[in-house]
Amino acid sequence: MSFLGFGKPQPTLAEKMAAAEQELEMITDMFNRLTRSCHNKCIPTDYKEADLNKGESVCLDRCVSKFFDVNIRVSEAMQSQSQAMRGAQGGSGFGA
Amino acid sequence: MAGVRSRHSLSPSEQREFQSVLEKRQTRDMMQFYSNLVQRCFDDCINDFTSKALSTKEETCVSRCVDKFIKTSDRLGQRFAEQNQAMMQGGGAGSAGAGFGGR
Repeated sequence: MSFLGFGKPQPTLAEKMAAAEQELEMITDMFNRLTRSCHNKCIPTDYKEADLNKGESVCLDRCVSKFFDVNIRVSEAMQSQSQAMRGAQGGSGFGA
Repeated sequence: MAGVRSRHSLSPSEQREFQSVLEKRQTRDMMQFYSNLVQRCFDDCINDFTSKALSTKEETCVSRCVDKFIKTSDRLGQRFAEQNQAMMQGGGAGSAGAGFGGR
């Protein structure tokens, strides 16, 4: 976002709430997907016991960590893709 | 999901309003969690339809499935919050993974 010396008007409450809610939506979705994936990858489905054993616990921890890493990498890759596309179109204007 | 922090600066009264949004959402999420859990444990544990009633084996499986899933969810929630926090503080590359809560 660039301010050209005028300054934007303050976002309204409705705008702020909508933005915050959208962010919450994204995070909740991310968490649900992470839960589904890591459960599938780390927890065998024969349910031999009710507690998490050490191996499963460690797997879950690592799963979360890798999920976040993948998230960041995909985000970076997409950003550079879209920048490359803008460049190819002879993009002008101030960068965000 | 408690204890996550917001990137958007809401005033205290705006925070309160957002809280009620959060609560409604939490109810909805809870219901989805429940439905999801029922489906998962059914899919994983119930594969024998020679009888109408649940066998002891199936009951035990379902019981363990529920316990395990809840513990898994809790653990994942903790790790998620930690990673989220770390990412926000590190000021990482993405718009992905910001958080919510009071300031």
